[in-house]
Amino acid sequence: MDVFFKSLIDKRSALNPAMDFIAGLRTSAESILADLPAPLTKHEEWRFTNLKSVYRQEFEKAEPKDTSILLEKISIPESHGSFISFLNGSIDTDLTDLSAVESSVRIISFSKATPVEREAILKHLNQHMSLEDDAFLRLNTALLNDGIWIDIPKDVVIDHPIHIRFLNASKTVNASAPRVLVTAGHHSKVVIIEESIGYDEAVYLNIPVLEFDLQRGAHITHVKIQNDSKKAYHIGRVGASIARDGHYESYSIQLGAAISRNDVVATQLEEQMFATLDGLVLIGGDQLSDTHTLMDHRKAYGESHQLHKVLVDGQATSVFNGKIFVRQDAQKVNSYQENRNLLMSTEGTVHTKPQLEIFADDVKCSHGATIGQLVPEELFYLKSRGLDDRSSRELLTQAFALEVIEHIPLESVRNRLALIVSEFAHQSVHESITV
Amino acid sequence: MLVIKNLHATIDDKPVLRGLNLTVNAGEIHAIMGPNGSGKSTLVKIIAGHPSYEVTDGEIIYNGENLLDLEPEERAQKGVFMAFQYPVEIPGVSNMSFLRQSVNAVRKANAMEELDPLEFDDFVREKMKLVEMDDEFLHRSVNTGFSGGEKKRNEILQMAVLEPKLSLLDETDSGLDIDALRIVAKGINELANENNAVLMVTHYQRLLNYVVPDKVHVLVDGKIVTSGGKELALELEEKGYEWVEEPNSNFQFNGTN
Repeated sequence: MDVFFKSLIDKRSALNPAMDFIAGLRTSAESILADLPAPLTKHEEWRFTNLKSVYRQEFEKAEPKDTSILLEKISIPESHGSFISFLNGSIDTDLTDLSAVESSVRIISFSKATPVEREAILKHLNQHMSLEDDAFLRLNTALLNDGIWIDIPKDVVIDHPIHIRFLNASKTVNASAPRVLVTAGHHSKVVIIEESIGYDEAVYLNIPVLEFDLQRGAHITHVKIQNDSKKAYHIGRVGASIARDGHYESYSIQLGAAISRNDVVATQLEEQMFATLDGLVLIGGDQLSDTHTLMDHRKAYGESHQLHKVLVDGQATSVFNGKIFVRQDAQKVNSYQENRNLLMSTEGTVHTKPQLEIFADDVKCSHGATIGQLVPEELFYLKSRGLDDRSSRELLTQAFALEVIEHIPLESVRNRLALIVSEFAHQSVHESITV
Repeated sequence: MLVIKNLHATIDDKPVLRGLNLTVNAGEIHAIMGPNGSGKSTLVKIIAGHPSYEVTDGEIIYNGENLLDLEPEERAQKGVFMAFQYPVEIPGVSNMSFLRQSVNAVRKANAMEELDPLEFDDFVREKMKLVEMDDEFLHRSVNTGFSGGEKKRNEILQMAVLEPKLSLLDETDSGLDIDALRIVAKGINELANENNAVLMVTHYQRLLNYVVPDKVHVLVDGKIVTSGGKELALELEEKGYEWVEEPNSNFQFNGTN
């Protein structure tokens, strides 16, 4: 086994006795990991994302510290009484309040599961993303010591969005591997906000894994806000499997981390479903953000949309790889992918790769990728309406990003992100004018 | 209000205007016609300050001030407005908020108090009647997903809220069906008064049936070759541009230029 994986596994906490039922899963993850090399840039899926600085880092056990400043930054009023916190990867019951969630909804930690529930959890874990050879999915599994299961019965519509908060506040340089499983019954509906945050200068590794199982007609909106420390490393995995008439909307917002890698895998299991895999990346300085997505149409009549927008400032690097598989049985699929990159500085780098693999012959698929700067004609339009150069640049930059944000179904989250975008635009425009 | 003298301009070192003279007074509506590539759109873009063109000779005096010394936004703040032939889409920014930002940028530059959202709401709703637009337009992103006609009506709405002194309309009639043309024309007519001026560029005589110009100029190869009253447009429609392109045309200096 690679020394990096081994050192993390050696330092993991002993398995909670109530979690014995996943011992087998941990062991098998370890044995898979033993045969997997740590990802390097010579591997196609990691070509532009060099993790050497992660591998060189020593990660210690977490020593929690105060989180109040972090909590203020991520408050979502709509999720009052419907939030769950993980602190440094472990569930924090003091910072969890589910009093507003419908009583028919089951939200439990794995360690509190009854024998029947344990079986259900085992049936689902690692089943909703086809990333068999993925070292970080296996690493998360090998480090698994608890997790959250959200189980929504059929026909239940959850009114309050559920806010899952991955707080990173440790006196040490630590690694967190939080885990969430969401199973949505027939025609149930929920909005899940997944949010990672840490102290500004903190170094840590965060490898969250979220899985979604959408039964027939289930409707899940998943908003991921990655706002980790600008010195941290984030390697996240999201998987969703979607049954007939399922509706999965995913919005991944990448703001923080020195190096972030986010993989979203959505799999169409039955005829007719809808999925959105949108993304917004705002990076500057030396940040590197890598998004890999896979929309896997296995059956007919699926529809998927993807709008991935990236703003690159400073010397930052963005990577996007968007796979769309349309398998032989997936006739009449309608799939659309668009990746737009806006360079705010002259030193930023963008790598973009649409990857469509189509084996059915009666489908509608389109994709497009653009890399550019603000368009002079558009700037002129705004200036001709009396706006000065700076306001025009800021407005166009904001507009570029807001196209993704405006679909998020939560006003407070939209407003908070709009503010972040506006600060980002203001700062990068300011830099480009004063340099 | 506007005096253009001997204007020469290039784009990518290619000459597009070659010694153009034009005077527009307050209270007047002027139409600029001419074949494709004659420099009609170029002229209004240069007046508005489009960055792609370089003025190599001549001057543009607007209310006694050299317009070429001003940035596009300063021109707008001083009352120059251009309705674009291809208005830009700004996804994510509502029409309402864009209109308010524009109006307030202009008000601020003129030391006027900015309008708060409530005040602006009343103000804009009044203006919307001019172009027969629904409230829904205000909440949509600027020009995003608008039809050709909706975009042009939105340009006229911007003109209405900005209350310019000099309006430059760049082929505002192109791509409009007859109903949209009527609405746009009605808006222009209601906004025109003795204190402002309109300079409209058009390829067709059709618009001039609805917005009757005081003067019509024919631009060929970067120069105004003839000017006249509204009847000139009809004559052009009938005889085609070849008629004025003839160097010995009797009408060449028959205008009021």
